[in-house]
Amino acid sequence: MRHRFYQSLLIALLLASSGVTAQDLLLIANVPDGSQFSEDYARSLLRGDKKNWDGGIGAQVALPSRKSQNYNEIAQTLLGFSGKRMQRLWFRLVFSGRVNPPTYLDSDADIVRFVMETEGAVALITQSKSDMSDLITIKIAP
Amino acid sequence: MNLNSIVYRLGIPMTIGMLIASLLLLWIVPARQNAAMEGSVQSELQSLSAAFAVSAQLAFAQEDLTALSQLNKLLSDDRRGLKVAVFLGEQDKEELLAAFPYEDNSFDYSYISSPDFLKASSPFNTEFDAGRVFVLFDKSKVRAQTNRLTAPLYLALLALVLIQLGIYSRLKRNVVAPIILAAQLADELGAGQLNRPLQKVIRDDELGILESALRVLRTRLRLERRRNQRLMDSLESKVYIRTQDLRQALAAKDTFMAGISHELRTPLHSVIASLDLIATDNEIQPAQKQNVSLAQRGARALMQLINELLEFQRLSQTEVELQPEPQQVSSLVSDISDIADVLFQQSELSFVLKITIDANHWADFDGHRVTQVLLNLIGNARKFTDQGSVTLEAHTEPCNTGESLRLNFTVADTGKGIDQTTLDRLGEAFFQGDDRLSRKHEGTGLGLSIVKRILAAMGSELQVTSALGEGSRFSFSLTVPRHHYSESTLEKATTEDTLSLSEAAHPIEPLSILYVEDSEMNQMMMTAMCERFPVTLSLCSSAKEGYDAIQTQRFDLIITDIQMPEHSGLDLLAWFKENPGANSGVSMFACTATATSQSCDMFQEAGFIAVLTKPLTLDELTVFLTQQSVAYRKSAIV
Repeated sequence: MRHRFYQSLLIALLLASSGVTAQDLLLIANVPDGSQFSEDYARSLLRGDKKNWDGGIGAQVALPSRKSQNYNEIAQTLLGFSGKRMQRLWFRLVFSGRVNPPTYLDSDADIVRFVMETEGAVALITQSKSDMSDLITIKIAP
Repeated sequence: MNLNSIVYRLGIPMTIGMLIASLLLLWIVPARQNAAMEGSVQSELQSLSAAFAVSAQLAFAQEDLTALSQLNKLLSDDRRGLKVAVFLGEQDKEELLAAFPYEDNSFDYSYISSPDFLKASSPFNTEFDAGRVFVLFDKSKVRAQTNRLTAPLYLALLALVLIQLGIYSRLKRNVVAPIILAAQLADELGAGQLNRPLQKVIRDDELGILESALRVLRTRLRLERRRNQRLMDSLESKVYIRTQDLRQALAAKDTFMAGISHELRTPLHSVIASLDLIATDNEIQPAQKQNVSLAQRGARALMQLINELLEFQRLSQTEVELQPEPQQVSSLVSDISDIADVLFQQSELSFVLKITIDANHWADFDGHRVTQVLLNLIGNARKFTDQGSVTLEAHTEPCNTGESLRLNFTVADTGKGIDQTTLDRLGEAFFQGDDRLSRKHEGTGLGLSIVKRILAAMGSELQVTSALGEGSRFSFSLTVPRHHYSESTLEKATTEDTLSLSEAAHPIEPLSILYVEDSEMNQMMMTAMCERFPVTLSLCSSAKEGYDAIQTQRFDLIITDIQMPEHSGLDLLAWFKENPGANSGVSMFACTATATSQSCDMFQEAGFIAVLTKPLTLDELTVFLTQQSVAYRKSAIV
């Protein structure tokens, strides 16, 4: 219990230091034709458990870079550990060939733009954008 | 197996070469190839590790995993089974971050130090993370690759072995075997075997040339052999004809010699016998006696000349025939001494005998020949010695552990001696030391030549030493097998000795003698000589007459000439043996001028008891009649 308390505290501090308060995350995806979207499947793509959409098109995961404010938050949300560790995970996955290499972007805007421009792209962002009408958006509780 | 064969001479170096090639192909080349491949792989691993390190650097520093993904794709497409591992952290505290292939969950740090892997590593270092990239490659795969590459070498080696065996086989069949056949053929040609059929082999190589040359050689040899055979036949024919001619010539010569001997001896017989009769006639005057004595010496010299010529002629054309018989050496020397004494009776010289011989020394040798040699030497010494003496030295000594006797004889004189030049030529036929027209001594110069030939036949040699003014010594030694005398030998010797004594002691018996002789002169001489003895002589002029007399009248002795008209003495002997008539058991003797020892032997073999040779002297007739008287008395007692 005590451990969990310190862990929650640390996350809150991290969020406060970044000027972002704890908020809902949005899962955005540019689902390719012939593929069905589901949150679980999209999550498995983001965790690196799967490489392709169910229609066979390769998934292009966009992740926040070290410069991004959401670097650790998204890692925490998706995998339950830090952004650095997530990067090591994705290094291992790419190295072993199980996934396509992710694209690291510095901001949500860059991520949204990338997802909109890339068929099969999928990502997590913290703020909704006005021009995401073409994307599937799912709000994910932190 | 002939190690000098060309097959082995070529095969052994080739086999050694093959072994070296095998060593190279099976061990050295693969090892070097493996090392080269490992070096190449090692270099590639190093490049790959550097590339992965750069990719890791990009991934951590710039968050760009694209290059990493591309390398992964590259590795996935690579079928060599490379292993790649990324470690984070400081050296010796490194933790495995990622490994390829992904399925290789067992990959751990121990692989890095394993000798089973080729490996290369490159570090990367960013402000966020640092570590090393290892690229590994299983060495067994390099070896497998090497083996795949060297497999053709093994095949090549096998092919080389098969080629070598093929070369051996062809070499043996096509080169060595034909060479051996050619050598055998050459041997056969060398041995004169030219008729063996040759297997025809058509070859256009060097061996074909050799075989062709051998065929040509054989053909030429055949032709040469035929030519030689014809030549040989021709020569043999000529030799046969010449041999026949030569035999006829020799036969003619023998006939001539026998004839001339007979014709010379027959009148000489009359001369000597007549002179003997005159010389023993009590009524002869002293002056006439001297003349008769001169005539006797001349006649005897002529007889010796004839005898020596005949003997030399016989020895020249035939080998000296020896007739070894058991001899008591002392007795033989004594007999020789007795004869020599007679020679010296009417001489101013003295004959000295020095004998050192054991009376028990008997030996097997030809006593007649030894006597002939010694009497010849003694006669020569007497002839060439003016004053002083002639000495016969004789002694025997056992040798060869008593199985043999060495007989040593020396005839020494006190003559004028012989100079060295004459010594060197002594023994040459017809050579005499003094060949001047006014030479003092008579003779043919054949005596020593005959002596030398007889001694050579006995395995001995005449040794001559001489000093001018002091005299000469003629010596020889004979090694003869010792005769271990038995009682019968002694008895025989004793009987003979006794007989000799009896001969001397008893007079000649009144004997009835038939004398068959065609020569009237010889009949007269025999009649005249027999008048000195108490014998009755019946004369017949031919063999036929003699046979008729034998059939009708009893005689004590029969003496016949050999060479007579119509029928010879041998014919008479044959008739007598077939039908002795009134003379059964009577002895028949030959009396002939055909007096070679060969003829005498032949006559005795034919059946004559003994042979009297013409010219027959009164002394010889006396001895003969005395011996027959003794025999007659013995037979009468029996």
